[in-house]
Parts: sequence; C-alpha cells; structure tokens
Amino acid sequence: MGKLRLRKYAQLYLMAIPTIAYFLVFSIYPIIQGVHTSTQKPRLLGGGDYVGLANYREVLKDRTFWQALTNTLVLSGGMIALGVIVPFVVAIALHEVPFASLRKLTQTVIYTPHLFSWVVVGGIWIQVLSPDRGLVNELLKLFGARPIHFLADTSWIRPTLILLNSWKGTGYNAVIYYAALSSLDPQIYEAATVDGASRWQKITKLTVPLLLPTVGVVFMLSAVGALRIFDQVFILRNAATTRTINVLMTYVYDLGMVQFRLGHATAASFLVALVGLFTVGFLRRAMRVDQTDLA
Amino acid sequence: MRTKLTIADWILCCVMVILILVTVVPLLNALALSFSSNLAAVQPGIHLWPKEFSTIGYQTAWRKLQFWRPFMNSVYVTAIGSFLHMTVCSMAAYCLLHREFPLRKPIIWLMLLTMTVPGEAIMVPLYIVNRQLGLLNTYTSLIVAGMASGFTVLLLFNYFRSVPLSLLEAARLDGAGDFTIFARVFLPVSKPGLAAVGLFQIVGRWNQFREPLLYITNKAKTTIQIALREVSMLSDATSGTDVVLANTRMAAVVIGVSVLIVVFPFIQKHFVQGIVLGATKE
Repeated sequence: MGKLRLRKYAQLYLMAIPTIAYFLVFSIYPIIQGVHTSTQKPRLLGGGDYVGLANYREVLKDRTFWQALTNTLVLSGGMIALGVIVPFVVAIALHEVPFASLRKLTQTVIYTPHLFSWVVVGGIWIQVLSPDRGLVNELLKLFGARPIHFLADTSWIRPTLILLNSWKGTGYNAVIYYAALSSLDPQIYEAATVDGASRWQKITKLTVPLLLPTVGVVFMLSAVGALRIFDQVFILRNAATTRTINVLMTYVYDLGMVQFRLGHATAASFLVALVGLFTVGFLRRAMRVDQTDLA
Repeated sequence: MRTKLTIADWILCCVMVILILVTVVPLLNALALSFSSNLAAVQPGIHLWPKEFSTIGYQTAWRKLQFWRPFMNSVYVTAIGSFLHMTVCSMAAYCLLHREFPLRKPIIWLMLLTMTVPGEAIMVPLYIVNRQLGLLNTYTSLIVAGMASGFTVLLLFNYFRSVPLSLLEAARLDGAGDFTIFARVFLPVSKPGLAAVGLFQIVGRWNQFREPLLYITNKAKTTIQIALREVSMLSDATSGTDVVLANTRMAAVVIGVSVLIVVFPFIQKHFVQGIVLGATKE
C-alpha cells in the first residue's frame, strides 16, 4: 500500500486507468490472442487444436501470398518514389514563387486531398476515369483516342493507383518539406545574394542540400506506410485487376474476413508486421550510417 | 525588393496554377455532376459546371439511398470518439508529469510498444477481441477504436511541460486535487494542442473505414464511408434494376466530405501538427 501511494495519487490512478486499460485490452491482448489464433488449427467455432507454426508454413507456401508481396513491393516502390520526389520539387517551387498569396493558395489546395478518405478519392476518380463519359476519357475522345479502362485494364491499374496515391499525398509531403525550408534562416539567402549567387545557384547550393535531411524523414514515413496499403486497393480492385494489385493487407483481409481462416490470416499479418519492423529497423540503421558518413 | 518578374517567375506561377488545376478539376467535376439533373448527368462531355442545376442527386442519395442514416451514425461516432480520445489522452499526459507516480513507467512502456507495433498486424485479432467482448455491430466498437494513442499523449505532454512545476506544487499546497489542477491549469495551457488533436481526430474518425468494415454488418448501424463505398462501386451499367446515376453518386461523395469541409478552415492553422498526428493514421 505504502509503496503505491494510493492516497496521494488516488486521482492520478483514475486518470491513468483508461489509457492503460485501452492499451492492455486493444493492443497487448490482441497480440497475445493473435499468437494463440495463429498457432491454432483453423476452426470457425470454439477452440481449435495447437498446430505450432503450420499456419505460417502454409501461408509461406501459398502462391497468392507471394503474389501479394510482389504487388506490394511494386506498388509501394512506385508510391515511395513519387511520394519522395514530386513533393520535393513542389516544395522548392513553392519556396521560389514570387507571390506569397499564390504560394499559400497552392499549399492549401494541394493539401486538401490528404484529408479525404480513400473511399472519397476512389469515388471521385472512378467517375473521372470512367471509360463511359468520364472526364479523362472525354478529353481523350477530343483528341481522337480510344477510351482507356484505367481501373479495369491490368496494364493501366498499377500506374493509375500510384498516380492516385501521388494526387492524394503530394500536398501533405510538400508541407513537410516546406516546413523544413521555412524554418531556415533567410539571412543565408541574403548573404548568398550579396555574394552574387544566381537564383539557380541558390537552389542547388543552398535549398537542395538543406532539404536533404528531410528526404530521409519523408522516405521513412512513406516506407512505413508502404506495407500497410489497404484502403485504396480494397476500394479500387475488381475481378479483372485483383491479381495485379492485391497487396499483403488485402490478402490478410480476404483470408480472415472472407474465407474465415482466422489462423492463417493472423499468421500472415504477423509475417507482414515482422517484415515491416525489419524494414524500418534496417532503414533507420542505414540512414544513420549515411548521416555519420556525411558528418 | 524584386522589381521585375523574370521568365522563371512566370514559369513558377504556371506550375502553381497547374498544381491547383490538377487538384481542383476532379473535385469540380464531382461537384458539378452532383448538382446536375438526371438527364444532364448521363450526357457525354466535360462537366465542370452543373448544366441543368438540380438537387435531385442529393435528394436521391439522402432519402432513397437513406444516406441520412449512416451520416447521423458517423456524426455520432465522430463526436463521441473524438471527445473521448482527447479526454483520455490528456489525462494520461498529465499523469506523465509526476515522476514519482508508480504507473508513469508502465504508461510510457505501453506507449512505446503500441507505437512500434503496426496496427495492421492485429487487424484480425482485434476483430476476434471485439467479438469476444460482444462489441460487434455496436457503435462502442467504433468509438473505442483508437481511444488512446501514444502520439497524442506525447504531443499534449509537450504542451503540459511548458507549465512550471512550481505552479503545480503551489496549487497542491493550496489543497487543490489533481483533477482541479489538470482542468484549471493544464487544459487551458494546451488549448492549441487540444484543438489540433481534436481536428485531426474528427478527420480521422469521419474517414474511419476499416473498423466499420470489420465490426459492423448491420446496415442500420453502418457509417458514411461504408455507405459511400457501396454506392461508388455501382456504375450506371451494372446497378441492374435500381439505376444510380452519376449525380447521385457524386452527391454521395459530397455528403462523404461534408463534415471535413466544415472543419477545413480551422485545419489550415495546424498543418504542421497534422504531420505528427497524420503520421499515426496512415
């Protein structure tokens, strides 16, 4: 009793309980529950039998799993590349624009889609890209081109998804870059001007090097999100494209919620998480090494 | 200081205009269609302005497709969930100020652990846990999801830290309890932080998709994003007997962002905090 200081901290205990209870019930317990489920023979009702790592082995033998992994790597590779590079250029352009009002307006406008859910973005773009009276295909028709089934054609669906991701996320990442730029001391630029540096020199010699550390941050954020792609694929996939864009998380969803193979689904999601933690750890390590090399 | 605009300046302005157009044109297309009549909505051509202004799309979505129901459900879940999140996290942040408090370390450990483990890893187990607790098909499952978050606790803790500890001790000596100190001293100090957390909670919970997808099967209790997804999947051709036209679908999309439009003007001030908070939900 004395050690816990119940009297002195009575009110604090009350204030701490909701958070602790939430984390225990909705984070820790599910992990334990997941370990249990993933080592159980899949059965719809009641407890199954302990089968060790058999579920994990079966997932690793499943060709759909490897297909989903490949798709995840391809899609996330494209999304990370565009997510790092395009906002980088946009942020520099924002920094250079001569009118503050135009800069503010652009920043606000391109940030907006980040706030929309993928359902909304999907809803808008299914319409815009529709082969039947959609905006893009109506434009193509003006130029005499034939309509493209962007969301149903297996050769178009991947680039389309990657570009949509960029449409939604560019503004957000640009704000991250721009925040780094606007925290810079304007005196550096003034000094460069006094020294007779051209605008291009200021960009390449000052802005770009000053932005490079932020590239790491944006890259990390994008890479962490990459393995978790779910909503956009779930919303935009259809019978024709499922095999081309099915990702790890939709694979887990299908196993668990459609086929109700909860043991396999949990095993698969743990494998995904493991790969994720590994990747993040590796990237952190690699980037730290890079930074010390530069110093 | 700049006296004359160079060619580079003009190119930059053009780039800005292009960026704005690429973002705005698809949105304008949706908005124009949503306010078009049934006839205008099915006509070919480029829709950037309603051709025959009509609210028939909204009427169909709201009444016939019963969007009022998921809309109200989402308003309810968003309001309660955001308020609960702010309350729970700010209380936890206050607890972290007390170095002698025995639960301080456990809270920090739990925060760090939950910030490392990706939420996706426990998607299926969380479904099982909700089933075990009898929370499937309840609003509670949606409200409780994400009730506490390490990121929010840390953000608020940083605001709380700006209060000198001597103030806390003085209030204690005056006989004020922790609840009083928390509510009278610390909450007012962290208003900007609370505002940012609240705004991004509203956005996140209004956009909540995976949780209702997993936990809610009862149509009467479904939320706006799920209802919108069902309508978006239909196209003029495939919807069979019940034709849902483009104006109705786009009206549904606009209803799907309506609450965000209300919140948006306030969000601009919090772009940068949004980066921290936004990082957690992606």
